[in-house]
Amino acid sequence: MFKYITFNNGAETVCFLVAMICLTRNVSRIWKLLVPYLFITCAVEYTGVFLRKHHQPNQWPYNILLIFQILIVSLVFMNLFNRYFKSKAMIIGGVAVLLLLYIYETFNQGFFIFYEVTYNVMCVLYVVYCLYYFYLLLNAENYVELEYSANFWWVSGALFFYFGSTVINLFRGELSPINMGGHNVCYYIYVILNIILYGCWSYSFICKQWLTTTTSRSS
Amino acid sequence: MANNNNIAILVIITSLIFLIAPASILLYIYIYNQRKKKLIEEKEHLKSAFKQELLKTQIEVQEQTLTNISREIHDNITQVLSFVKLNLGMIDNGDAVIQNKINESRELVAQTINDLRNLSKSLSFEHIENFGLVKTIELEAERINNSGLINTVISVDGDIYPLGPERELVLFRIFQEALNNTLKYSGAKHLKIALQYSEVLFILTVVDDGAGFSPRLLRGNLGAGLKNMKNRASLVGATANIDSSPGEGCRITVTLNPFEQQLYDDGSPSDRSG
Repeated sequence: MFKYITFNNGAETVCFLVAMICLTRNVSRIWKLLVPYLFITCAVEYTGVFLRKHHQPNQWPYNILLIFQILIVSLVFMNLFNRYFKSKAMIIGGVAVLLLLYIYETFNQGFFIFYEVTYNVMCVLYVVYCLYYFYLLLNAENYVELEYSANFWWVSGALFFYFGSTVINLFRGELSPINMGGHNVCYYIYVILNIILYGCWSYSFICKQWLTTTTSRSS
Repeated sequence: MANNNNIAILVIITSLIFLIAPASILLYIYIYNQRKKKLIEEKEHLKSAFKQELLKTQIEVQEQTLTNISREIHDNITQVLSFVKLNLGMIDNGDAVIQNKINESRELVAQTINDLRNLSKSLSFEHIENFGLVKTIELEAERINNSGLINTVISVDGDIYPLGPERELVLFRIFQEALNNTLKYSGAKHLKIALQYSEVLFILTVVDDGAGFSPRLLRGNLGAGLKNMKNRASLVGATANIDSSPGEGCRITVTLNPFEQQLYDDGSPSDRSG
């Protein structure tokens, strides 16, 4: 059993457990969606590890995860943006573009190869969302206690992860040939990014449940 | 082995580069946010100072008006009434019935003069400055008792020490507002006034046994008076607590730390020279 546990799925499992504890009560439906999302993430990660250990192609489970990632992460961003403006159209537009790419790649290359274009575009889009969120946060009249702001920590985790992923995607050609300890160097970078992402998200869930009352103070 | 080390260094450097960019953004946001917090706090402080200044000016204008009225009552109306009383005393037509009426009128005029003098004193800042808070409240209580409107009992605990003329004036005006509310709205029969002087706190308590009111009534005209009390109290660094419920009377407690720096310490309420 333990041979299937890696840094990646370990971090995801811890984050999922924290979400289970923190996001089951007193939070909006959108945030509650992160619990099943993290469950799916864990399931996909364990399946991926299992398939890799048994020398089977393991990219198709990540293609399944990708569709949940597009839908649920976009929904959370919409929830965050709605504090500042009506973001429904923008988010739906983004989701539509990603889904079109997803369908295109399904027909173009088949289900068993990772949908790289969709993933890359998604990463860039989410980095833009994160930066735009921070821009809105800075321009808002209200002051936010960042230390205890669930939204801020959630977006920070996403920024680290998707920014790192974008850079890896850009330099994958240069990084791919480098192997260490039986893994590609990108794997180790992903481990670090995953630990940061799920660390930030776990803290964000803790903030959401216990530390956040009203994050903003009126000016 | 050396190759592995190089790869490890490469991984670390690459990861650091990936981390530094978003970390810099977050650091910038944090610093910007702290600056925003400071600006908002400064804005709040300015607003508060402006509000304080406005309140202070309002009180100064009010005190000036009251002093003018007080002076007018003392120097003009009571003088005229004294002449009226003197003239009445000079009338002597020998008719016992008429003489009786004249004497009654003289007594009424004398009583009116006395009442007006007391009223003049309670309006005047000079009086509070000369006699101090306790004596002024005692005189006010006596005046109210003499009117027969309500039975007031006053108690003073601890060694009396001066709180400063401005603070004593504000406390006296709060007391007057409380008294006014009691007479106007409560229908109370008894009023207890307690002044407690301890080493660290001064507490003024005014308790009536009237109709009381529910907290939602605070939004009405009565609420304006009570809010005024709280504002006045905050002006001298005191806190005013109002506790009431229907049928339970009302308790107003003003608490002041006499050693705390007062906000009104540079203000002079009116032209004291009269």
